[in-house]
Amino acid sequence: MADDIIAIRSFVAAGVGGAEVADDQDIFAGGYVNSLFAVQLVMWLERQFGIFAQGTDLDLGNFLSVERICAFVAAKRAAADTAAVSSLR
Amino acid sequence: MSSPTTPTPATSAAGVGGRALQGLREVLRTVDIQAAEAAGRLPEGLLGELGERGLLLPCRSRDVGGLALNQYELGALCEELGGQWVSLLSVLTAHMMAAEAIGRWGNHELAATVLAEAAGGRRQLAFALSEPEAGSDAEGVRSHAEPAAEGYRITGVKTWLSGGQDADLFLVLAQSPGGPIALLVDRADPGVEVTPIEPLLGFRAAGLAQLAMNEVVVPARRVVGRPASGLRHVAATALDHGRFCLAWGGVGLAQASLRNCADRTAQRHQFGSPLLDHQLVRAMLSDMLVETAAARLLCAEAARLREEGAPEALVYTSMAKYRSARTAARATRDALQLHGAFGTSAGHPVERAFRDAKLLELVEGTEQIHQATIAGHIQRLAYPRVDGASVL
Repeated sequence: MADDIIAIRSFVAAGVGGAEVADDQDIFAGGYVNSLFAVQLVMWLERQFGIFAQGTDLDLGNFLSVERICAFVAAKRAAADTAAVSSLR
Repeated sequence: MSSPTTPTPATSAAGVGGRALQGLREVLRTVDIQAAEAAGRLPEGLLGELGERGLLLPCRSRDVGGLALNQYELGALCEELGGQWVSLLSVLTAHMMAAEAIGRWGNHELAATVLAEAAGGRRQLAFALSEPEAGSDAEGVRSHAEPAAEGYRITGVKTWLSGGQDADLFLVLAQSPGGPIALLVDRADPGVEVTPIEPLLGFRAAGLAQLAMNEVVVPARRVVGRPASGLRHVAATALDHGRFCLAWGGVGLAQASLRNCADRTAQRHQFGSPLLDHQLVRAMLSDMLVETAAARLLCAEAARLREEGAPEALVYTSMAKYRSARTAARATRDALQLHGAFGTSAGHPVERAFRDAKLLELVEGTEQIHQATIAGHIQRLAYPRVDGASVL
């Protein structure tokens, strides 16, 4: 989890051109990032954390800040674990 | 002159991509392209025929009627279309753009139904983003979708829709109280009016149309993605796919110019020798070859990154479209120059390529929009990432 947030902070920092961004800061409202970044972020999260985003995940709230992104990744992983367990039954 | 398509790791004549290319060529051989361009629309039944061969949604799985092609193989198809018939490329690209967005972000039931119909050619798709007052600035769209008991009620006007004259379903981007929303409007929905647009400079058989929606009720199940994600993800996915297809189309246009010029300059004699022996002509031809090869390599690099699912794929796709459209514009202009008055006669392939290349520079991102995207990417280069990935 600690590694996750470090990687996410780094991706977001590069995305906002190196500006100081607090973990709870709204990066979209701040005008730091554009729609291209939003798409890149999802692609990167999928590859980095082995998750798969669906249409229902496209809630901007999931990607608003470093903290929210972390929580999103954790929730997707937990859901994938649950699905894996139920498929074993 | 044979077509020296750069061999890519994933394309071989015997493989599924090679067979798809062969199939496309077979279909195109049966079409009178010049007549269709003059008539301003695609021949009846053409899309159905392409659908039977899996060529309408070639990258989707075989389950829904596609061929599961990879990005290199898709690129080869688009290059072929660019070289032979840009109007058809434009219609197929719009169809694929909508399908990609629906397949990626639409709910499972919607995606399964629509993609199967779209792959077989039973339903033609179009992508409806531009408006009379909003083009490059997609956030400026004025069409609006108000929540209603059944889903949404949408009003607005969309324009420059490739394939719009015959499309059955439109992926429409509109404003909603929650943010930009993407939803599927059915041509049969009450309140929908489709009006053909007079042929433009290029893409003349692409069946361009305007879509007017007057309080059209769209059920909630036809919303693609979440209400506020219409622009950031749904439209972005579609546009990215469109840019990739048209980037390869530009390579096809440039390659066809090269082939036409090689023939022409070998056969045409002036001042006692073939044009090909004149030094100024040799300079033009060598630049045309080098530029075309460079554009193709950039497209192949975009294909590689897309296959990897790398975030940089988006910027590379933008770079490929930017470069390739510019290359096509220059190559087709030089081809016209080298063909002299002959090339300017109506219906000559060189004349049509010149017109289509100009349009290619404008659609799916003008040169200036791509430059802005690419420059935005450069701003991020100074900040290394801890995952070790290089953004260059």
